[in-house]
Amino acid sequence: MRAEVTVGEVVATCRAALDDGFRGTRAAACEWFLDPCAVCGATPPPERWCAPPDLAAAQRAERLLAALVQAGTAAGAPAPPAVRAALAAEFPCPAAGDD
Amino acid sequence: MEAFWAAAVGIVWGLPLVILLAGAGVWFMLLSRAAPLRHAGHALAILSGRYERRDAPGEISHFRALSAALSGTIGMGNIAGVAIAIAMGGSGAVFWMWVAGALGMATKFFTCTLSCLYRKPDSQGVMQGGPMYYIEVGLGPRFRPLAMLFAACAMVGCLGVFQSNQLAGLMQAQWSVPAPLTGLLAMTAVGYVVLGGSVRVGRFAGLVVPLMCLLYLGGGLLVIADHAERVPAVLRAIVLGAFDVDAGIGGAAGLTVKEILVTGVRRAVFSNEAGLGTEALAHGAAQTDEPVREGLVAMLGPFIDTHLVCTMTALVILTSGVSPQAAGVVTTAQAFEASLPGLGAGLVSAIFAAFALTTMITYAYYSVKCAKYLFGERRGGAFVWIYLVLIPIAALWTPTTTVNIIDTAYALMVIPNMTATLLLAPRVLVAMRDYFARQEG
Repeated sequence: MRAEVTVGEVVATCRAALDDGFRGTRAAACEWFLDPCAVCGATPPPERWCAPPDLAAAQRAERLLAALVQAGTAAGAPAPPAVRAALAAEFPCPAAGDD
Repeated sequence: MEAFWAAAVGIVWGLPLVILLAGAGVWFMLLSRAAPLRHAGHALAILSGRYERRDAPGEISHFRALSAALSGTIGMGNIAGVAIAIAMGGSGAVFWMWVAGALGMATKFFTCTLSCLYRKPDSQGVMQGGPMYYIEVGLGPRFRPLAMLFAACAMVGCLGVFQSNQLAGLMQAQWSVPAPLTGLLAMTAVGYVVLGGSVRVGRFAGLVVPLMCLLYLGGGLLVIADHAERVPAVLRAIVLGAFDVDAGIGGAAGLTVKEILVTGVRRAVFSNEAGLGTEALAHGAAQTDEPVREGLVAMLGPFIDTHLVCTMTALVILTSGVSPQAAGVVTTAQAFEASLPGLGAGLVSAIFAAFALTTMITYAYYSVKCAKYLFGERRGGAFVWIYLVLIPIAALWTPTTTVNIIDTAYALMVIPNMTATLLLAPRVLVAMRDYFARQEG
């Protein structure tokens, strides 16, 4: 269980995917982390972050990378909690009654 | 403080750890002239129970010790990790994973032989084994501070905080189970098993881990069967892609062979955890009077983790049609779902929920065992209650700094463990030659 993917690996994968036009294997691997559920295929709990549904995956990847860099998370840290925290900070859900 | 631990975890889990563990594996392989690997058939015979003796010291069978050790290494990280390794290193990374897995087998042979070679009775008279014992007994009392360093790192590093949070997230995402309920159920399950000691931990792991492995491997075979015609090409791409970037498939474009090698080795080293010392804590409880036998059984751990589970994951991903040109099926769960509609993702989730739970149980056993070494049977034993209370709390709230502290402590186990194993390796060689000579004689 310690063999978790690290923040550094996610950043490298997403950066490489973006440099390559966000297509192919790396883009697909990056996308998995953009919608981090424990095992992909399930819908992430909606209350944790609210990315605009019309925002393209590449743009979400760019914003995730920026949020991870801004958070200063170490490259060797496990990715799942760091990515969840970065997504929650980048795409906060509107408080009840905001709409 | 937050920045300090963020930096610390980045340093300890960096490339030097990969080089240390892989390098130690090369050294152990050369030192033993690959003897443990050449006796893999004998290891399987031992695992089958043919050599078991009820009056031997220790508490659990070879099979249960291996199951307990495996429950700590196989998990969701393997799946995501292999997908990332292929995305970043292409199919050739899988070949280097195999090589690093073989090196891990040599390392585990040495650490787990030592865990049974140098055991010590606790205050209840039960024989205990593990890195802190082979450091203290094998190297002598003046090395006790090193043994205490290992025990302290393992006590903190094996806290099940991360697993509890992951399990709660998985249960909530897949089956809408509220996190507090998952936390309480996990605490109850872990408490019930761990309070029964190593015997109950071994019995539980011996039942659940093989079942989960078989389910995962069986499901993987079903998925691969859908694309069986691609298997020869994928295997060819794995081998050729290790040395020739253009011959591989996956995300190797623009990489050097060295980068592919590092990607694969790193994944295998972090996946099978050979050399960190946790495996020796589980195998130290095995019922045997032949330490080399336990080393041979332990050697099968990296084989199952890397050569079977990780390879199955890689084959599922690669045969499912991933190419650099088209965003194909990258994750195993997606591939499972595509081949087994309505069942695949749920099956993978169920398997990994079970692995997360067994990991917490095994880690609780490791953590409490180390607490007992540090603080004595009674006070150390009470640590189990702290461990249990943390499970439901972590299901709801896991600060990143806490995860970083735990992960740093986990990686630091390698320093005392590898120091002792390298110093005591000649004694393992003596025991190994004596054992094989008796077997052949």
